[in-house]
Amino acid sequence: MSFNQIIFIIFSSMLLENVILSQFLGICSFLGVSKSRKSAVGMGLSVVAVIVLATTVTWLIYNYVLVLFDLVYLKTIVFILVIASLVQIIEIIIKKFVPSLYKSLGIYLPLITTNCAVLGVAIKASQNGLTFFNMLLYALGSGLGFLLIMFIFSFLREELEKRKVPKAMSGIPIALVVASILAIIFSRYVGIVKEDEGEKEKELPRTANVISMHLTPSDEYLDNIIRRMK
Amino acid sequence: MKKNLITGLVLSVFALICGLLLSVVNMFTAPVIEARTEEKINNSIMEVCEVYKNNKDTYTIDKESIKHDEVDSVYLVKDENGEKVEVIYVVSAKGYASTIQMMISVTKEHKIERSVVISSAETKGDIKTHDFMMDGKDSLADFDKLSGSTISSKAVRKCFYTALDLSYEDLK
Amino acid sequence: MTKKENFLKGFIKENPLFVLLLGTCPALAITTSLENAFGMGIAFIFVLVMSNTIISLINSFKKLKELIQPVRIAVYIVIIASLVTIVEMIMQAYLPDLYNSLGVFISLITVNCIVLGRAEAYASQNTVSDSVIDGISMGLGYTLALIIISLIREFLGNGTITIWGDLQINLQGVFEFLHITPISFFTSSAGAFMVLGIVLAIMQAIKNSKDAKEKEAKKQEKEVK
Repeated sequence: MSFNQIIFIIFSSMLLENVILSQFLGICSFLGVSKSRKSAVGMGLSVVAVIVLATTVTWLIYNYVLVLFDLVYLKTIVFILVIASLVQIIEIIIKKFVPSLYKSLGIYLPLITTNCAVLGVAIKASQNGLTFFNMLLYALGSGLGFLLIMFIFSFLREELEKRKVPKAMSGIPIALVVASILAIIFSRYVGIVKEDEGEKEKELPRTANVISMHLTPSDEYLDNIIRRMK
Repeated sequence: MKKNLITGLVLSVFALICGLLLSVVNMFTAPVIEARTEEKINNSIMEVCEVYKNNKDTYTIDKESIKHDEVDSVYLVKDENGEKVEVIYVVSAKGYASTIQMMISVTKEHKIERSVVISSAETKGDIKTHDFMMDGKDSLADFDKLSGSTISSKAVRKCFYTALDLSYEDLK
Repeated sequence: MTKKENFLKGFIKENPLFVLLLGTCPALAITTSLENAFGMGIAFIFVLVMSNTIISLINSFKKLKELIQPVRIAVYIVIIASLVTIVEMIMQAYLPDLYNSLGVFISLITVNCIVLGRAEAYASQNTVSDSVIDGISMGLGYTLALIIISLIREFLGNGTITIWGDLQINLQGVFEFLHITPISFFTSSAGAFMVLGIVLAIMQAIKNSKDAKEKEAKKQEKEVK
């Protein structure tokens, strides 16, 4: 896999198909925990960790257990149980070994079980038939996208608190309008990520073209060379 | 410790009951879903392939022999002598909000005969009814994109490109 | 609370989307057409009513209630997830088009805060019949909210209103009359945030003016005294 492809997957899952702004996953925590920058970043970081771990585990279970035994229809129930127990395990581990981290992130962990970004990314990664490495990149990109938007949005909301807003718009309504403007900005990132050269269209028929180039140069090709020499 | 064991047991009993219930429901719905998809594929084949529709008794559709990584499935249409007449691709590409799945038939002259969108949940524009001006063309020069939905159009274009490209290999 | 009050509370007073601000993810994602809103609403009502019924039934047996107490949230989630899967399978079998356009959001009813919230806060403490009424009320209230948002978005963004399948009201004439084209902004993701924001602002404005009127009335009463 080329470096270009890695960048492409991470950037497209982070910016173009941002979990919050274009896929509408995790809106509850997006609106609920974004009042202060500190809590937003804390929530974002825990979501990154849980998304990557949960997607890896669920991907393995989906491909090596559920598909193999023809039990794909159990995916929702299995995935949610995996996520819930994973969150529980992470909580216990952090509590025991890194108490300082637990103090700052601990309160967000139980909320993550019902964060639809985690379940949504896990389901999408398994259903779209990604390879293991692509799945890791996709999960990481989605998580980072969540963190990025949480950070920007909490910053904007902190600033909004200081400004005068019409009484009817204050609170959640104005936050949603701000989110809408953010979504407009992010939907314009389409041009920023270009697909790598390998996927670009070449002239049809691709195979026939290559052969003729090697054996006998076409008239057009010769014309071009002559023109350039002149 | 004993208490933990009991609670774990209770949870697994619940999970087991639910799993069994789901498998019962699945037994009823799975055949319906399968029949539906098959019916949809068959209907789409009728729609995109005129020769097969008119000569159902003599022509055959080979669903197994060719497999590509780029496409979901390949159907070869053969006449009574076993000669390849057309090839039909089921291609999918990522669009704006969903994965677009198309069925595209390519004739022996490497021209696109017809195409249908099998499934898409695109929110912008109606790609299911839009005419991309590709019927009977052998290149993407005349591709008419759906204005206002660039990303969906790009995905559709990619589908056509893949189908045309692979036809050179499959219809040799 | 009487049964009638219990039934009516989900529509305006405790509307899950507009007042409690729960279940915002599907409300933004699938409201691009009225048909989607109907489909989501039906799936949602089924899951909510069934989960409320089952959970209040489980909790009405004292022994069972004590037994599941430490893992009750996990048990609720398992029950909800299997109900969601049943809906998903039935929809895939009999309404494949709707299933395609709702996509991953059917599975995500599992983590919709409304369902789990009602299970924990209401169904586990009330009788079966009350819980069923609560489920229907909340479900209908949520569906109503989805319908309002999707009506605005589909009309402004596409110029149509899709009721079900091919049954579609074409209102593009309105746009032609005004010499404009439908504003596709409203079907995009940014439009979803905007519409929900504005609807919430209108709700808040109505509430504010009501409060102000009440205050005024109280003041006058005091002055009279």
